[in-house]
Amino acid sequence: MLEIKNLCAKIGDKQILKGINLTVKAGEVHAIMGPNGSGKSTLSYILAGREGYEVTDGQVLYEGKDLLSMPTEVRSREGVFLAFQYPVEIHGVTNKYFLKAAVNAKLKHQGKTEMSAGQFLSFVKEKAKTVEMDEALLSRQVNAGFSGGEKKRNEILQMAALEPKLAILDETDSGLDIDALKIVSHGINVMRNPQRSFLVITHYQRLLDYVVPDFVHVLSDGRIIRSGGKELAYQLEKEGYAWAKEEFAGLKG
Amino acid sequence: MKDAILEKPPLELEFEQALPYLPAGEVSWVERLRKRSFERFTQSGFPSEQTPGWKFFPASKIEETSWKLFEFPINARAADLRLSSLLAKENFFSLCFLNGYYLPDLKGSRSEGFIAASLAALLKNNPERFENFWGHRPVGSLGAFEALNGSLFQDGAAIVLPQGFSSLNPIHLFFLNHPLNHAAMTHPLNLIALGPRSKAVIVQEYAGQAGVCLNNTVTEIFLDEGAQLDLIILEREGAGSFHLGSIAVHQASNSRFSVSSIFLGESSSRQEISVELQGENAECQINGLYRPSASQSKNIKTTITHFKPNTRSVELYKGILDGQGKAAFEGLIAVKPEAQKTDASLHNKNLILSEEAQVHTSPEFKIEADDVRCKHGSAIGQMDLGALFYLKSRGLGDKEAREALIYAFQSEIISAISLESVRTAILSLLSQKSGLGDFSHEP
Repeated sequence: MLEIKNLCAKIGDKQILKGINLTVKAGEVHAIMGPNGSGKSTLSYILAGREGYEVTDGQVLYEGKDLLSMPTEVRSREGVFLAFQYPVEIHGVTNKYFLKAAVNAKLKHQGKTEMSAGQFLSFVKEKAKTVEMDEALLSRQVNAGFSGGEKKRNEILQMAALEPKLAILDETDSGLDIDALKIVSHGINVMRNPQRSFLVITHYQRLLDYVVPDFVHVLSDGRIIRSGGKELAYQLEKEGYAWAKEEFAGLKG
Repeated sequence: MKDAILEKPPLELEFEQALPYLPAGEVSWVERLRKRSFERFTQSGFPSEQTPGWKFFPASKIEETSWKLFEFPINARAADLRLSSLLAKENFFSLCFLNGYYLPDLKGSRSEGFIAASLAALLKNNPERFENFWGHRPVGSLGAFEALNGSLFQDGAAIVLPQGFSSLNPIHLFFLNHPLNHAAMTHPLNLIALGPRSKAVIVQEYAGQAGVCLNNTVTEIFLDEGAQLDLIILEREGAGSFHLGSIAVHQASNSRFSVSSIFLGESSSRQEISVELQGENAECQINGLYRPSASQSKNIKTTITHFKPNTRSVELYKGILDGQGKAAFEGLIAVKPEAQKTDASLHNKNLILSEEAQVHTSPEFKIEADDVRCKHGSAIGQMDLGALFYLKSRGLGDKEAREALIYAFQSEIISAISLESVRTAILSLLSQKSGLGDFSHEP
């Protein structure tokens, strides 16, 4: 599904990613954990196609194709979805306009017939039900005046409507109270299936109690310094990131 | 050199020649008004782009042109004219003007219980009625173009609602210009007077084909105690034309005035709004949208004066500038010493889509009372790259994402338009302007 090979990237003169290697197979859930400033968000933005980053080395293959050469919107239509850490507020456009345009852009790309307004409404209401989201969200302007929790739930609703093959969740748990965390996690879990992969980026182990990963990776200073199973997350929570860093330094030294 | 001294300015010649033929010439106060206005015009002269409040407006081009008044369009029919309107609806009470002249409407619905008619005809038959409004007009405070309008007006609409009258159907004033092969001008003068606690919705639509013409409109509005007026203005005049629209509003206590002005024409246009909140609890809401592209220019100047306590004003203008489009916004809110508990806000926001577009914005307060709530702000920005990325990351193409953000930017103004049919028509015009597709239709 996704193969990241020696990915190096910088913003301006600052080298952020220093050689990331990661392989995600279909159906797998990978968690990427790491301290602030380790490059977690940069990695997610580069995968989704945000401008402003310079890839200095390495490559990313998505379903065998060169992901980095695809325009942002094509990545999305091909099935890559990024749930934003800070979803953008767009006053004046309702969620359903926005989602209908998005879903139809994907259908058109796949050579399928676009949905009519009526078809789309029933489709998206069904999706809202699956991920247990209030369909009232649909009539509101995109994230405008939403609480932190509502914004994250809206991201999950968009994910449900777009049915991606690879979903990257960037700190989707940040700023959520326990109830919102449960709703969001439920939304993610119902979407897990053998064809769909997840890259869950998080600072805390808390989310991983609800969305149980197959693999956990520790990102520090632009590199993956340790990989393991879900138990690695508990160890990190208990002992902090310092030991992993020291161990990595020892390995290198 | 000798010739230059002897030769009168063309506009003065035009005024002298036209004066005997202008409507209500036999009414002495009207003739006096015209002459006093022309003196005022001569005294003030044309503004230039350097004159405060006139930035980017090509007034000097108007000054350099030899203008002739449009002549009465003999064979035109209101029914044909109405076909060119984008806003006319069956239930509208429409008054149609071609090149500034009212065309009697045979099909036309009759105004019952109120007056909605040609000002020229009313002035001729019943001049006393209007002397109150204009007989002692303080011409000394008129701007150059308003003074020119006061001297040369040929016609316009007069709308007078008696006490407590509520006009059920919107009143539609349609001004269409057919430019000629020479530079032709028109100076419509409109009067809107709403009696105590009366109510009206008025739509002013200004349209025209490409060509050199000058439409210099003045609308004077009197809102009596408790009266409510909702005004919608759409300007879509053609390339090469100049549109000047001046609106002066006098509001008594508890009256409410709202206006939404949409400037989509290819003309060089200017709007000047002056609102005087002269009675307690009077309130106004002033909204506008301008979208200059190519090398068009749009110029807005507004002045809202709070004279009395507990008066409220909310003003928001938004601009979208493309190509070499230019716009200047100057807004002033004045709060007089007596106007305690004034609540006022004044905002201007601009979205710039090209490198060559230019915008100038200046919101200003002059506050002479101490217990007031006033906010103002202005913004000039480009397309929000974060929002653009967000939309594209959901599969929207670059063009579609930009269109969505333009739609979003202007929606605050459009959604404030009270008449649904007008809102829909304007949305569809805006869609054409930006090549917008899906976003203007609610699923």
